[in-house]
Amino acid sequence: MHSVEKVFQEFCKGDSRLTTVKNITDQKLFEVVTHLGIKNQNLTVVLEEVLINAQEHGDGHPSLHYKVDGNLLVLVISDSGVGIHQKIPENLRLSDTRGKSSSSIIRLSLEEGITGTGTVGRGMGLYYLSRFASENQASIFVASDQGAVIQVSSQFYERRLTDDLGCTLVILETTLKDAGI
Amino acid sequence: MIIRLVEIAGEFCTRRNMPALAEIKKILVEKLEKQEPVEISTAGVKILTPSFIDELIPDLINQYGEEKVTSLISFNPPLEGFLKEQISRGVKNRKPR
Repeated sequence: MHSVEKVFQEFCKGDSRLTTVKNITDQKLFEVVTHLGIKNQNLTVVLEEVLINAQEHGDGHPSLHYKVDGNLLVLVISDSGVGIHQKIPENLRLSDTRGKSSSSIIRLSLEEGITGTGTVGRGMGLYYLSRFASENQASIFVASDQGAVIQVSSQFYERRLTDDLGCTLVILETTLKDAGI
Repeated sequence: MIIRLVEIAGEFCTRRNMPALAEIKKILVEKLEKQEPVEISTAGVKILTPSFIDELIPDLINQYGEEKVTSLISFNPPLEGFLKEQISRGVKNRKPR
């Protein structure tokens, strides 16, 4: 089992070591970034873009959870809106999503320019998240519905969850060094 | 001319639907037409995103050409990482496939 999967399991059990910021806004995100001492601009950019995704496609009130565990930084953005598995197929250009599993659709959402809006240039939140993982010693876990995708550096693994999450979760686990802390 | 982003768009230049984008773009177009240099200062901006940059610059490059835009429009401090990369991605994404 990958480390980031354990983070997911602990999150589902209510990991008490996580600090939670509800109704995350740009200002609150900036305060967390400053509090943690994140100096890697790309990481800040990724978090903001994922936050925008969650606000635009989710229920409008995403939460941010974070903890420092040894030399690792764990960040979780959750929202209870329409999941990625439902949003991506709304893009009429992506006819090949029909019949695909939730995890396959999530995997697709990590690629460049894949979005539920179908608008040119959109869909950069999860793409840059994936890029951050592949360019650093980072892992991500993106879950929606009963599907999940784990990315460890440049390797991808699809998972089927036993229960419907009822929300969209984006977990990023990176070293403090890569976060610029 | 110096455009201070924080004065027009605020501390968070994050979303592609920010009304300030149209205002900034209008200034940039005027300067490009007059062949006058513009410096976009990001001092005081807490978070700037690829989405914001994507909405601001690639269309201008497609309209006026990369050479003209990059020689007349500059960011201070210069864009780095995913922000810088988004300009070329944005230009590429807007080309007919």
